[in-house]
Amino acid sequence: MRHVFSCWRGWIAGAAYLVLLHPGASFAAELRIPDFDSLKDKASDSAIISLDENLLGMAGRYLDSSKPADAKAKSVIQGLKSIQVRSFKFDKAYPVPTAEIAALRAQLNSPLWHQAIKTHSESDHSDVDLFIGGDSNQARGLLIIVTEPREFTVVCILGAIDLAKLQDLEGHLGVPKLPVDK
Amino acid sequence: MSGDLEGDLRRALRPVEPSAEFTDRLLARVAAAGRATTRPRRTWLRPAAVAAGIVLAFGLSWGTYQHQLQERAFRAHAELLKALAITSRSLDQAYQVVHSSEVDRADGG
Amino acid sequence: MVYSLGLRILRNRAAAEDLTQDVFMQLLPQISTLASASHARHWLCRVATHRAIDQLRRRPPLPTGDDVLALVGDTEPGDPLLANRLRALIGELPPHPRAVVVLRYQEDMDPTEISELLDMPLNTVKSHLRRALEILRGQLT
Repeated sequence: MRHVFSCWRGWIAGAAYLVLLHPGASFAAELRIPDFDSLKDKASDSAIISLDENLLGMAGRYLDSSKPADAKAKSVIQGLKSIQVRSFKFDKAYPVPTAEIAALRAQLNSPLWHQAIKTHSESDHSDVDLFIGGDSNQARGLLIIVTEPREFTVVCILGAIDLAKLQDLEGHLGVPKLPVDK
Repeated sequence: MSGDLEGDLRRALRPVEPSAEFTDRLLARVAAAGRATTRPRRTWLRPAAVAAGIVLAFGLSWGTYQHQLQERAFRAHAELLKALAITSRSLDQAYQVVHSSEVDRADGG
Repeated sequence: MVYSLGLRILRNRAAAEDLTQDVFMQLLPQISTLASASHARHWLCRVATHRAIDQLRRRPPLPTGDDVLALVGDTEPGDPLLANRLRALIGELPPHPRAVVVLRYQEDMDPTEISELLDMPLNTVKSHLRRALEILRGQLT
């Protein structure tokens, strides 16, 4: 059975329409995303990626605008402050890092962060949590926590996220169509 | 004590290099700030002096500095593509569960 | 150089990193006033040292991590225990003598250069060095 936070559509659609504007000074500059050290040794494959504004700029210079995928990726990262990804794949069941997830969630205890999606699938034993940061007019952050039996992923993006542009990456980087009413 | 206190001090105070991660971060920040800083006069000195400062401060050769910057940019590029791919997959999962829930609700009337 | 100066004077890795970053960010607007690489080096060294001393005088000492006192690596020449002890003792010196010792033995500057860098009379630099060596020698015996 799946439990879905009812306000997901409003948030996702709102976020997609809002080209999430430049972060204001009052918005938390960074979330501290744990490295989940306890999972590293157990994972068969892992990705720990932290790209701040400067590194995104450096990376952007190597995106070839003449290639559609690169051009769209370049467009997506414009205005982003940071992208942090922690992703682990396992050959067998792994201990879910509940303490680190709790610590991460504790940082979201602010009126500026809202949980847009919270799902739990008992059949798949998976959880997906999606938070959007910002106020009712501007979203400035996106945090996704996906817990599956053989995979654990945390994605945190701060800055001017444009989900509509992200949606345009579909077919290039495997980005899906989002439930956005255009 | 060896009897050569000054020699012992030189050995104890050998210069220490910062971590590669910190150096990466700093180089990227300096490079970005250097691009953002515009000065009308003697701008030709900026890259040379920044490079000289970094080279001397970190004990790097100019070639090494350039190489490190380029390496970091390549790595950042690869990481960016991977991060976007993982992000898209995670969004996809979020969408899938939400979508199937909607379908369930619609089917249920 | 900048990081190493910060680490040896402040004895805290995070503080040394912050100092290094601040000094380089401070360098950028000054670039057009620096005529050569040696000027840049001198400027970096001067600003880093002054900032480190100011920080030490303004704020209570930050905790020193074991890794800061510890060896640079297994390849460190000489007696590693002695090197650790010396670094700890240098860290107990007051800010100015500590900076003088670090500039003398880490950066290999002569007293005249240190005097100019720290805006300190040459005799004061020599006196700090002499006194520091006496203290270190006394503590080690």
